[in-house]
Amino acid sequence: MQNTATRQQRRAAAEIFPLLCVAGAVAATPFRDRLTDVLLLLSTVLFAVICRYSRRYLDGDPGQGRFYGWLCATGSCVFALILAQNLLLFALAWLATSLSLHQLLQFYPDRPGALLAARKKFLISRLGDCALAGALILTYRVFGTWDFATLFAAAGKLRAGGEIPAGVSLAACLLAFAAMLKSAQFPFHSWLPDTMETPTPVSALMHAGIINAGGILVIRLSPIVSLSPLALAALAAVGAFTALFGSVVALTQASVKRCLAFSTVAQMGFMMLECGLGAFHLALLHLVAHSLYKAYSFLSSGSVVATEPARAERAPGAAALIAGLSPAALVWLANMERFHEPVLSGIFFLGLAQLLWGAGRGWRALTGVLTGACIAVLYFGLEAAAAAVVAPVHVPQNQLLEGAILAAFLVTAVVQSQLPRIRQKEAAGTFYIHARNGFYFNTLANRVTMALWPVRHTERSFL
Amino acid sequence: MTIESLPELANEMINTAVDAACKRIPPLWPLQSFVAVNPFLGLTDRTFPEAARLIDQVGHGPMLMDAAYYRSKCRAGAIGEEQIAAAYTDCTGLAAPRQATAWLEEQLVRDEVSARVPTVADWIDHVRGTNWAGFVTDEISKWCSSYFDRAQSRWAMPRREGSLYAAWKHAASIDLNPEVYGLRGFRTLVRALPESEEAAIAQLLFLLGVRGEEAEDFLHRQLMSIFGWSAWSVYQEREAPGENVPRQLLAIRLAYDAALLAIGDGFDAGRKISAPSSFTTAKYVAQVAAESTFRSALAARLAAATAGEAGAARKRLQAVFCIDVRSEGYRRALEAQADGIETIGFAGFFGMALEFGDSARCPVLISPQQSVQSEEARPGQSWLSEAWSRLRGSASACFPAVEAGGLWYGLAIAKRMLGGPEKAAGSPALKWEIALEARVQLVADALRNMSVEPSALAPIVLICGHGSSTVNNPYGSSLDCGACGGHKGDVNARVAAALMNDPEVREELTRRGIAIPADTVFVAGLHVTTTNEVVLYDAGRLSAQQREELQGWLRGASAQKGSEGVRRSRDWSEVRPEWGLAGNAAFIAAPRSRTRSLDLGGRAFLHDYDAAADADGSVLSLILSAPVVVASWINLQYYGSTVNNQLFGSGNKVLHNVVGTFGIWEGNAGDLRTGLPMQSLHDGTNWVHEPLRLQVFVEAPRVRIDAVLAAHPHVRQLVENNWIDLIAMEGEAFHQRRPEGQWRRMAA
Repeated sequence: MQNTATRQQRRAAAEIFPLLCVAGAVAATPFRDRLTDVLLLLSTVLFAVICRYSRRYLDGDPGQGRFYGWLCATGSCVFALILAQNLLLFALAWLATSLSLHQLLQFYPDRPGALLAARKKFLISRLGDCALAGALILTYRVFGTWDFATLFAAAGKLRAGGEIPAGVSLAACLLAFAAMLKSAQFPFHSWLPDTMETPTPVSALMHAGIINAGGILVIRLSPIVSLSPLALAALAAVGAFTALFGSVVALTQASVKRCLAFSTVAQMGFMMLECGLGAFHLALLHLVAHSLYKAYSFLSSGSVVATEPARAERAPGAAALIAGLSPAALVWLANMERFHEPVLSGIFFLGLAQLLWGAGRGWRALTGVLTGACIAVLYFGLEAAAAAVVAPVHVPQNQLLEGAILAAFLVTAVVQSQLPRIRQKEAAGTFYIHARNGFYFNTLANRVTMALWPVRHTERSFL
Repeated sequence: MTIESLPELANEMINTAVDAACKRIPPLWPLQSFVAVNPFLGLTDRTFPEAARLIDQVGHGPMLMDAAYYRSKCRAGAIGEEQIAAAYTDCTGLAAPRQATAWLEEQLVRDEVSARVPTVADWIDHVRGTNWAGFVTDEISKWCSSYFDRAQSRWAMPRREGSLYAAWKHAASIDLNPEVYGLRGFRTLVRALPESEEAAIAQLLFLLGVRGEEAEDFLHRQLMSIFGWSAWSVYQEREAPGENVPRQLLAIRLAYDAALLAIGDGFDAGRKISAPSSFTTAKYVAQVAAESTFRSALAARLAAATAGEAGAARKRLQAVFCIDVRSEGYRRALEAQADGIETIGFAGFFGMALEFGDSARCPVLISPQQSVQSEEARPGQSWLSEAWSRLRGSASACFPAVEAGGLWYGLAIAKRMLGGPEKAAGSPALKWEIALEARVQLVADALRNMSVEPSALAPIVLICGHGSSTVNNPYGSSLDCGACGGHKGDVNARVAAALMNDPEVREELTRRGIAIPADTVFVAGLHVTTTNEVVLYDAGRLSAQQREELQGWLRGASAQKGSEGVRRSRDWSEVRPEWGLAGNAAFIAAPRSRTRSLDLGGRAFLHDYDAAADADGSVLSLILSAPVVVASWINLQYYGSTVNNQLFGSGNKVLHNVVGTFGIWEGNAGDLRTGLPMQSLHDGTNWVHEPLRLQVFVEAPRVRIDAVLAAHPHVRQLVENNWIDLIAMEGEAFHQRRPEGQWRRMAA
């Protein structure tokens, strides 16, 4: 009986917890900015939803109290991370988030798969911590402070002044590296798809919340990160590769949660690409929109059973491809001056082209055009709104890289459209088989983890 | 080591062993129509204890609860002393020890040793503490899930249009994963395999050194090590026979073992792993005694039940419900609403074996006879959702798509959190073309098998199917009607009621001497088991007054059953929307007067049966060969999922990962899971389902029952091999049928 009472108290605590956090934040933070507000609102909504969801979802689980304990701990750390106005505090919150998430990842310690994934993530996270610690030291040596406002003002002067000290460039690169590790960028992504051994709300929390920490780091510290062209180029290149890598692997996955997980890897890659191109406002939009989308997708992942069997798709012919691509390309080129970032708009119009070439003929083509127009209005409206929260930074153009990225997206789109036709070709089949395995990075990472921190198959912990 | 070098005789022996091993595996239905299956279906030709010992050896798991469970039952006094003594004598043939309970408690802690049949992977893991067995399962699960995927992946596996074995052979001869994991030379081995799975099996068994008598159990162990996919392949074979999918899967499994031989030092196909046995005499005695205790208590109540009022007066309402255990409580509540309400138990497809759309709406033991369509075309996707699904599924366009559309999911989350009502499924008009003769026959058979007297039918006859109402629940269809093939029962009820109202049918029936009163109106309904509400369909034939009266009674009965279910049926985070058939333990085929005064606690399937009106025994024959068998499938599904959830159940719902949109993985990967999740059986503290084999009570003369058993060997097998218990009720005399064939009088 007493057990039940304790459990109920914990549950009640969990439900009012997000509200308390916000109340505290509003009262205690005199220097909130719009970015903080947006992230705070997002995290509050997510934590409220996940706490409420877990009440019935984990009902009866002997560990429900423990679950809420670590969920609240993780939540507190995330709020601290968002509210931090100081790099040291930010780094401590970053570390604490990771450590409390680790407890949630091994919520079922009797599952060897859960332990292996948690340990794999633990090792990668510690590597990221080292990078962050390095950046912390360098920043202090160069600027003599960890306070964000002071730091950003100094960084602004540096940007205007021209010569960037090597220490700052190195710090920017370390920050970018830490962010990539946190946001599951290739080749350090493989822990993320393997964390399905933990309850669905933890997946939702991770894929909608904690995985964003890397993005938050880069967006928050964009005045510093954007000082290093190398850091930006690395973010863009790794991000773009991860985006396409993840979404191609996701196409081949047969289970709903793994499909969603590889999609998260890909979406995080795109967010990093946006950061690398200086479009920090779009990265923020991406972060918020993807969080809501992915939280919903995980929490409702039990609903895929009800969906109907897939319809056989037909590959559009060359004429259809051109008919789809050319109007999109025309609109894109005609508006080139107005875009913050031509590559990202290019990818957007490439998406519209796919809508057009998939729509068919006659009135269906017309609805395709209308849908495309509506989506364009929506997209650019949201982009403008996001720019009011975080300012995009104009970064020097790296035309080779940008051209390569755009070409890669174009090739991916065209090849995917032709899949129904080329699926049975030998080369496509071979590619599929490697992609189905995530190109073996999971197995490799598992072997490394097993070597460093073995999970005994028969190991049973306190449960 | 080519296939030619094997003697003909060996090949024949191998084929026999392969077929026998495949026959031991039950089928697994997809989540869309998750029919309850007896997980021991292929083992019912042996007695329950024999099967339990076999499962211990080849499934490496128990078919009984653990000793602690039985001990706590003994301590709680839930197993009677007398019953323990009797069970001991029955199980061992020896005289019972004097203080039986004390003896049992003491014996329950004793271990017995069993010899487990290993795969090569099991052997290596046993010797070295590695996890090769898990790895092999994951690999097979990877390719099977892609091969059988219905709609999850947007890029389908190459060559899945061909056979499973051929598609796997192609993929595995390219796949580097086993070698990256450390299994050297795997691709070379796969490339060298013969094109046909039959030749491959022969070759692989030769490599593995499996010959002679151990082959069948060895192959059974191979299939049990990937039990879920084995069961799925048996289902595939059942739906489209000829491909021999289970055999193909077996060839695939053997290939991994053959490759593992390279590191499997000391493996010998004849060698077993010794382990504590999960089957001990004491546990089995306790199980039998627990069933016996339940049976005696129920028999005493049934014997004492007073016959209800004489059935002469015409009733005001007759309501036909499914035999499902969830109907029992609602029926009692409905009968309490007014005098003159009678309820009847009948298989919930109401004798209408239908094909609706592309689903079979009838028990899986029979095949659909009539086809019914919905008059409304399936609603197409709206242009917006089509565009969204196209963009979201594109590897390059999904990124800006999420930026443009992701925020809208905030609204979707809000809607789910507030538990807004789902879009009503509606009741589209149905159409069918059934010849008059067939319609008349359907109705005549249904009325006869329901054991109702047509000329005495009430003015309102409710034909009430059942279905659940849950959201975000992969196991939704496991809560629907098994007699309707794992679907809701509304279509069958509506067709049954419409045919019974059909003037042409009524006229023809009258001509044949089956006179239904002219003012009798049949109405279809659906008992929503999650909320305990009844929805009516096509009720336009009732007068306004009749309709109001009927709805008043139904509302009254629903209110009596409580309404917390409404929240549960809409909550997307609910893992226990309802308890389904948990607790089921008895099947009673008798007139309602036998059970009407009893609260059976939702543990009994109730089938109306009037032996006096069944001179030729044909109705009894139908009941024992169909509804009882279906009920035993359900009962043993619950039994298997409870005693060994690891093997026969589907584990923890919070880790469920829907695969291929038809099945379940628990977590990252692993085997396809079968049976029921823990959350359907256990409330977190206690078992809600008590694993008892089905106690079938039939109100009929023993000779009549014997005649039916003689004509239905598979039913007799169930009784004589202890898969169900059969009790004949003749007035106050109850006799239980013994495995040897005679009847033993039960103590009063």
